[in-house]
Amino acid sequence: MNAFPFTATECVQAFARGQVSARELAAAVLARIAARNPELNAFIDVCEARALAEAEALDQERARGASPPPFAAVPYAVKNLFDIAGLTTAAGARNLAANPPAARDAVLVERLQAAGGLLLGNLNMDALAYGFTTENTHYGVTHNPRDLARSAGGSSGGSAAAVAAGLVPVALGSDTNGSIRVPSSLCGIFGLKPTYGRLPRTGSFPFVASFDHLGPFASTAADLALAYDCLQGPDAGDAACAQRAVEPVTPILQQRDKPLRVARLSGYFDANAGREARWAAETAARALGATDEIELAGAEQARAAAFVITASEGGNLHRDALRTRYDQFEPLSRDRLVAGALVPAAWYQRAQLFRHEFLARVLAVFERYDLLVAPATPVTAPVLGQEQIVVGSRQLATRPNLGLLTQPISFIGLPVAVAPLWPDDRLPIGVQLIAAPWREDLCLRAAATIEQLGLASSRPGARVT
Amino acid sequence: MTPSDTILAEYVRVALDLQVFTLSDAQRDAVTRQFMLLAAMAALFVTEPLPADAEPAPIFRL
Repeated sequence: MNAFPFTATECVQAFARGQVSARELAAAVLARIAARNPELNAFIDVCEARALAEAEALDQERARGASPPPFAAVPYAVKNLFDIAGLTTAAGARNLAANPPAARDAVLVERLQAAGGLLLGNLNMDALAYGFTTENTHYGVTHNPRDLARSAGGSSGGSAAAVAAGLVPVALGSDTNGSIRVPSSLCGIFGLKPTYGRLPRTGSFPFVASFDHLGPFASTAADLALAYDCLQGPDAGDAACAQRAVEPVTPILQQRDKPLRVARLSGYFDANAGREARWAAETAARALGATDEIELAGAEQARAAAFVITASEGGNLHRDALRTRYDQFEPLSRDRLVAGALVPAAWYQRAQLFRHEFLARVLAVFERYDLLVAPATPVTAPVLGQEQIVVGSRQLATRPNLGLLTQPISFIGLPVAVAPLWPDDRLPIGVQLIAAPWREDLCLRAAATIEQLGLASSRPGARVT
Repeated sequence: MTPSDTILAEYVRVALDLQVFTLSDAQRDAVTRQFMLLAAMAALFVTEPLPADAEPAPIFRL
């Protein structure tokens, strides 16, 4: 299997040169999944027949002399909240598992299929996307490929684990409060949470409409850009999706026309970062030429307001089902959902007002800087079942606090790439590379820069135990 | 429980009844604990000064 291409870019190139067929790639990945998934529990459903059929169609197209599409023969998989025609979109939740199968694919799945991707299946997650650890009572725990005793992070833990273990080079996930960035950090891979409204959510199961983002995971910055380029474009099915044309990043990923103005976030972001997290942010910031350390005034309040909006919108989304089928909901999150359904309108309204104010403050910062750097998680991957994490001299509950550093950023919808660093050669931790709205290109270029410098790497297949 | 906790617990009890949730006492206690966490979070921002013309989302002008 090692002879087969590992990254998406290598798959595209090998297929285009005729060095490998799409069917051979699909078969190799299916074998990888069969070998590794039992210990990881990353996949819920494997679409073997579909992947082979898509591969067969690609091979036939090539035999007819057609030019390969941009994502040709790239195996990928999606979080269990993306619609896949013929499968139930359960969003990792037992109470949705008996729903009828989806009639059609989510828009982002349609786009990757049109670009030549091979869909391998759907991936485990925290139930209803409400969690940061992918400890799922119904579908089981997803294990971190770097250390099976540790959390893969969440809520898109299956997506990150599948990429980190080399089962697929690209996966899709969602990020409401950090659900792409937290598992990217803990599993040691690259992830992108685009600007709020950049990618359409049509055909995905919602959680918090105000904050829900979709985005890709990959093992290199180039793969992340490649997938992102294939996913872009407006869609009328999502009212929050911007009417913006595709702005490809791949052609300018290596562009270094002028130095970026970079600052490292301190204050709240230092206070909630452990030793490894702070090292990662300082290392990345230095490599990117950061000149300053700055504080984002109101970051703690932003996180708190995100917490309340999440509970309120999530709780109200499921309110009727919680009233009648409470016992079917995930025990780890159902009490939070009910509590959220009771949030006074005054709190919710005030949180939304503060959101607007906080955004205005941060947009002013982007007049002086192009890129902000912060850790993605307070700590490296905690042991599964570990109830508390240690951050500095404080002990914090694990499940709600893995998103401490991501929530203030998604609260205002900024684009963020996560790049994985390795503080001690044992466990990875990610840094957030944050730009102004619609400047995903800067996030991805920064990720590519620290990757080229040898500081960030997904270390394919690396595993501690 | 502090006086503030007692008020929050009473709010949860009434709000659950108002929305016709039928939960056991243990489930109500668990929801109350979660609501107290939300109240602690809300306390961090509800008194934050805001401009008179502050408005909620949408957050980006397209």
